[in-house]
Amino acid sequence: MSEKIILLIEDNPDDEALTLRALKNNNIKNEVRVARDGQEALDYFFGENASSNPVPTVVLLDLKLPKVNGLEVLRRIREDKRTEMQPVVILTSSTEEKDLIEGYKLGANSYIKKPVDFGQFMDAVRTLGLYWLVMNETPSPRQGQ
Amino acid sequence: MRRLAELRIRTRLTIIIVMTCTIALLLAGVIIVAYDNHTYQSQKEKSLSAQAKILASAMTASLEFDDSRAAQEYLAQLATNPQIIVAAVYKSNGTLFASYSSSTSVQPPNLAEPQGSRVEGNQVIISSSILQGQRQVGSVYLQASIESLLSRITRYGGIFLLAIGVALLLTLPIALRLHYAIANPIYARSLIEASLDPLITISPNGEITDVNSATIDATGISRDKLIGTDFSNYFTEPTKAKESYLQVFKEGAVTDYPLTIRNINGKLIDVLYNASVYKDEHGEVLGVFAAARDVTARKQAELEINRRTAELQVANQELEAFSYSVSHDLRAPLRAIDGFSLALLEDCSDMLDDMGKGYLSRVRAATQRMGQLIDDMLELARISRVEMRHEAINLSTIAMEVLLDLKKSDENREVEWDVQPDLIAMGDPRLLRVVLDNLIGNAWKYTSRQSHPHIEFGAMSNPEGVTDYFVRDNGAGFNMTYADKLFGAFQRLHATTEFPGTGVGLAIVQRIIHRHGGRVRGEGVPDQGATFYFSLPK
Repeated sequence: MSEKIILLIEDNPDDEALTLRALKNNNIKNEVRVARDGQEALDYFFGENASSNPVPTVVLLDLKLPKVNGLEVLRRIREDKRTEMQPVVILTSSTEEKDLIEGYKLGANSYIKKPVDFGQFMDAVRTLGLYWLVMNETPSPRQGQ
Repeated sequence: MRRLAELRIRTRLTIIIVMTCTIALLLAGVIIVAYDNHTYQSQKEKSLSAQAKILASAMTASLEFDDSRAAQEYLAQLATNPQIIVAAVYKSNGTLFASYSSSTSVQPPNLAEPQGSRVEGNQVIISSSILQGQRQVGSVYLQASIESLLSRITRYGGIFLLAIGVALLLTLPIALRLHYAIANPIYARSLIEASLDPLITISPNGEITDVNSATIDATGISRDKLIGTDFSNYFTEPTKAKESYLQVFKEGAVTDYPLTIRNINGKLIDVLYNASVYKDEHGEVLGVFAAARDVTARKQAELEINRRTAELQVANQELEAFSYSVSHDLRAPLRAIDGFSLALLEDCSDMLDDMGKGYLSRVRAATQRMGQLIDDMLELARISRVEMRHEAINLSTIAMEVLLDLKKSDENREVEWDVQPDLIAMGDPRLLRVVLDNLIGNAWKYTSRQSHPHIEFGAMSNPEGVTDYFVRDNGAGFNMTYADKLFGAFQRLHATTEFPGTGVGLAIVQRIIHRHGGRVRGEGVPDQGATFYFSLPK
């Protein structure tokens, strides 16, 4: 629990670069791990070397992902005793209401639409980082182990 | 006769029966009178000629001895028969020998008449020769009165009138009873035939007892061949047909029982049967009366609707998948363009001159506009797909909320507004909120250059008697020449630099109002203002 890290689950390299830049420009200097598809994200938590991976303070989850889609990743995270309390913020281009409803049903902690306007996106990332990394207190998910 | 045809069938029948009866009785009367008159006359002739013969044989001796006195005395005895008017005996040479007259006004002819008999008015006249062996010794003349035809008819007339009267008295109740026996079945049959639906009556053992011509058309089989055969023969599912009438006998009726009639030419007709039992006056079940309604067209229309609905569902699913893809995939590259343009502006600003920065700003503005267009396009598609609710809503309250929201987001502007209170309409609250958001939002936007902006929301009755709700402003207005472009998606009547927007708002308004079954139109005068009217059916 010494360092708060962020897990970004994002397949689009442009979005990845922009998100990283937005974090940097907002002075959020926490380590960011990136998973580039749904399977990679699941491996981070449940794969062979999962136990050596630090527990993220917050997961930024895109929905439209190759191999295993974002909602499925969220469902598996919530199903597993080890990760059921993991804070997950959906960060997606989708404006579809059904994605929003499904996301909350599966236990997303937040749902943020990525705006086209990068200025607005910067604001969103700043608020997000401030809230999850500074203000919010979370229980340690692996405390019991 | 035309008037007779206009009368009720019951009255007509009664009149016909009574008239037939009367004519028959009169005809019989006339025949009887004629026959009776004929027999009466010939009887009279016969009896008179018999009397003449008796008289002749009695006169033979007097004539032989030329004793006219004895003859005269004998003839005088005829006075006992009042019918005899004149009697005379002539000698063989034809001269008068002796005579008798009931009164002095009548006299016998002076000379003997030739043998024979005839009727003259009310009298029978007989002339007969007197024979002695083969020799004629003289002749007898008798003239007798008979009762006149007129007096006989007068006497019979009374009897006939009485007979006719009695007959009519007996006929009337019979005629009235016949009304039930004859008129009712005729009436009922004409009703059955008048039906355009195939009608059928079925006996308790399932045999057809009557059909109308619509049934003949439906089956393609003649009436004679249908009657007496099993009802269930004429359907694609005979067992189901049999069950239908068994159910009627059991439960008294069936409604909308689906069956398919098979026409002899192979054509199938889908029908819904409605049937119930009918009873005699004692409540005994006589049979089943069944009416079929041809629903082939309806069923085909249903199939067609189902097919189209399925197609529409597929199209909708495709559209949904398309929208989903657009909302994800189209926006991601836009975000990258905008994001890296900003990154260039921020991170590499010392490498760019003002022109380069200006170009990048244009790239960003265009990207954001495209993002807005995509959002609006998705919204337009969503408005058409979203499920609608129907409830009573207070449009005035929504209008006030919209205006207060606008005021909150644009606090520096002073806008006067006027909202007619408690305008209640039926519709989807969320969609109608979108309508007012757009219309009032437009009014707000297009009055931004007006020194005393005024927005009004109200209702009025249009010339067709339908309530038109309206949003009126005194803003930029528009030229009516382009009114047809108002509601087209991405159509704008003002430059983006003048008033921002993508031109989707009114297209969304029109789609929502059309989905409610209403109409929408706009009126405007450049630089004086615009009014948008919309209707919502009750």
